[in-house]
Amino acid sequence: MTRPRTGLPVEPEDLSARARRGSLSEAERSALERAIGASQTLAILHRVGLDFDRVLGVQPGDEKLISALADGLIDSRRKRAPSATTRRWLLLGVAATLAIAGSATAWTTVRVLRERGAAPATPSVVVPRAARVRPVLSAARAALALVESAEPPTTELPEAIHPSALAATAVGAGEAGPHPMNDASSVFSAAAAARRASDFGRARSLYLRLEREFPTSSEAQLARVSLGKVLLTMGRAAEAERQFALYLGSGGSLTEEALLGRAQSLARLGRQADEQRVWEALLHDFPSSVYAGTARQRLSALSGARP
Amino acid sequence: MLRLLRFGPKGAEVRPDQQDPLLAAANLAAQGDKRAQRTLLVELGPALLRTARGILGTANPDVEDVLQEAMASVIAALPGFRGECTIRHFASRVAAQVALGARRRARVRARYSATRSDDELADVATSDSSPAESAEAARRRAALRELLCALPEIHSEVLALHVVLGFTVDETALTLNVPVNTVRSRLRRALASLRDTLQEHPPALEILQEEA
Repeated sequence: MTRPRTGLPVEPEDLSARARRGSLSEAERSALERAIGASQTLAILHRVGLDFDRVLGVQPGDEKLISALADGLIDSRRKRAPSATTRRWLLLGVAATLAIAGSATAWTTVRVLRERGAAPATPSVVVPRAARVRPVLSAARAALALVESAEPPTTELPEAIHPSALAATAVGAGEAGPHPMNDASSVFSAAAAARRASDFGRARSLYLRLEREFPTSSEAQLARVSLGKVLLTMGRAAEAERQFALYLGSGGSLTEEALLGRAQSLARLGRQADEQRVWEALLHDFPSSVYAGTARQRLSALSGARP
Repeated sequence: MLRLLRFGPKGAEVRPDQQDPLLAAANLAAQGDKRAQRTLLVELGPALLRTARGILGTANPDVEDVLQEAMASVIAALPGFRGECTIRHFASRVAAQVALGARRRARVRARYSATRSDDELADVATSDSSPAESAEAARRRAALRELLCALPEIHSEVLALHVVLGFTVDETALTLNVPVNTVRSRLRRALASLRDTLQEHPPALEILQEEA
């Protein structure tokens, strides 16, 4: 590949990768555009990269699918490989069975010998080796089967918890589980609290849960804008754009914010034509918006950037 | 075929990464903690799914199987993780290897089958752009996915991480545990192979050049 110069201490392919995350400065954006103009290969790769970003967002049902597969996998691994505790019980059971069976065999042999007047063993009374071993082994197998069929000490599937909580658990903090959230309002509040605490992973998860479990609630509709903002902060511009677009599809009191968020998402995705249309819609529908200045500034930059 | 990963040379010191929120979960999961394993899989699931869909196609029927295989492979490979990159990058690489393997196998199957994949149509359906724009984008994605199978494994892996998943060169290098210059070199060779392959398939070249 001909390596176009960017004029910056960044390689063009890295500019492309970072542009897809929406983390380019204006100077870097210009450098990327120059590099793309100079290299057809880079232009193709950047374009295809954006194509992939467009369709690889989270889809409805993803969370459920992931949870189900994770549960299935953990469950099957548990069945295939007993836990350390189960293994310890298993070994103890086998050892105890062997000991009991061995003692019983020895006791029986001694008793038979005594009944025969302590006569020297003849081939007819000596228990063949295989016959002596078989009852012991079958007893051990029975014990093994018993232990294997027994329920493991913990029968509940492990719940997924937030990594930070897991880290706390790892250092010995044994706290009770989270308070159950059974309605849209409580899930929305918890998501908002997580967002305020900058716990974006949890906030995203809760907003998605809200959309999934309470799709017709007013909170679920509002959550799209909040989730869009969270996703934008997380650098997931394509998914954020989708959330804002979904909100705008049905409309509501946050249309202005949704337009702003969608325009910002499109800017990060490098979809300048679409971005321009959204800024224009914002100015048309909300001419006195607090975001009008930002919209005009951006539109000016976009028109200046185009030939 | 998936190669179980060993990150970092033997004896390399594990680099503490306070920025990776999944590290604590990964350490516990590597020791067999079921709760940590589930947490990790749920957290990494979207990245694994994104990788599988990126390489196979958004509605490819193998996506679910590949996701499951990738989850199992991530857990199996965790003891070899030495912290050179983030857990998410590590998991994405595992998923990329699983998905590339599945795609190659499916390609072999397709040679003996009359049916064609509907990835392209599915991609169009999942996009919210205009139908014409979505169709063109889907054709470009399909062309690149086909090329991933035609390239040698080390080149297709770099291309998948960089183009499909959008990793920077530095991230790709850390994920593959190779020097940055090696990634650049592999990327250049991948692109050279890409050009050669495209020259043998003018329609694919045409598709990729559209709107570029």
